[in-house]
Amino acid sequence: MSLFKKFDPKQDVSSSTAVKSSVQRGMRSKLLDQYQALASDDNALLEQIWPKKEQITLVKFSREHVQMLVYKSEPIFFQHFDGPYLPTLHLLHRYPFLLPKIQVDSGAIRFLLSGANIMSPGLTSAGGKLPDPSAGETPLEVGAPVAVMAQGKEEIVAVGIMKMSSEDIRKTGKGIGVDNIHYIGDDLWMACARGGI
Amino acid sequence: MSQQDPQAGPSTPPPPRTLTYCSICTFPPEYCEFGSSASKCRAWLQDAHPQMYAKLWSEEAVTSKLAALTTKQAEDLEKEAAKKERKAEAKAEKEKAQKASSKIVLTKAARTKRKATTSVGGLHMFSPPLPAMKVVAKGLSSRLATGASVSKSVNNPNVDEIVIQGDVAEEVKAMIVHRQKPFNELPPESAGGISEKNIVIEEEKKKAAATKGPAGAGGGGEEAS
Repeated sequence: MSLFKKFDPKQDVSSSTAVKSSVQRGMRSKLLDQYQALASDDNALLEQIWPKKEQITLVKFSREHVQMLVYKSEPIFFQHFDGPYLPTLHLLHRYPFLLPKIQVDSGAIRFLLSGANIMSPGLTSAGGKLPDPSAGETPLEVGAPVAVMAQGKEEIVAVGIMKMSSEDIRKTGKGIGVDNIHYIGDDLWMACARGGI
Repeated sequence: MSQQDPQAGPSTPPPPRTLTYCSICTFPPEYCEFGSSASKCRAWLQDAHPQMYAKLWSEEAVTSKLAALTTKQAEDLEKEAAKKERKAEAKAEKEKAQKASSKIVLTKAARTKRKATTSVGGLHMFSPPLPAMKVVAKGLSSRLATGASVSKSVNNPNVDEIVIQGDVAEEVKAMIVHRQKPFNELPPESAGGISEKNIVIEEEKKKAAATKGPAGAGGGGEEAS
């Protein structure tokens, strides 16, 4: 299920508030916990994306319990209920190493871009890629956020959450493998592309 | 902050990558083919970033892409892209037509005794080019020396309207027609901007309190639809 297939910044935002510094501290530590890349070198990268001194705005959705962290009118991370913070695609394009990557075959791109979830065969076929434990890559667990690449393309096409562990996908090769949360061309992407919220 | 090299030193974070996005469909150019304006995007890319165009649309790249598909699949893809594009064009056309025929409705409503409010509806169709409703309301309030606020429309709660204190419908109409502040950002009539006949003045009839007949300029507006 895609969260942002239908999202109108004007109507769907129920509140947008400046965040207290104590709450900000909590968010920062959660982000650091979640993303090793942000925490390395004494939080240098987090400092670059979101300087500590800067105020951040928390934008809440009127439905679906989605919260977005908006820095200088540009959404950088979003969160569904109490789930992991996910980076927006524009941020991810700037720092592609934030999330582990999987790859779908070229036939699936079309469907991904209209908001479909990623089915396992798209990942197990020749054009798809999953982390390979035999090559020393860590397998992905259920619920892990991933960046979705596409066969023959250089850029990340979507942000998703694993619905099956990568090993299970490899074994069964059936059903929904990854939840497509945020993809190129959805309304959040459009809002970001138009200059933020 | 020095950000020259990703591997420069342990204390510099990797610099952000800068990406080129298509200025037509906002996608990264390699995904333009999946958008709803592929041919336009292609023309843009050729114009703006010839190097990238050469990479993405070279003979070699196109043929290797086609080689992965059967001819039937390729044909289907092409057909679908064309269809999508037609659809997007039709949609844009429709929106334009709707915009051209959209009206600004000025409604007078009687309050107590000789007091009245004027509400300006339909402005949301014009913002942009107009600044935010709140800004327009502020401009109106300073021009007319009355209070003006933005509130949800009574008839259609999804849409905002501006409520001005006092009976100022004629003044507001004149301001819109002459593109005076705060309406100076509207495109002129010749460029498809709103014309006089698309501004309707209505009077809200509450009980039998209506003292005046329908406001004078109503005639032109009614026939405009």
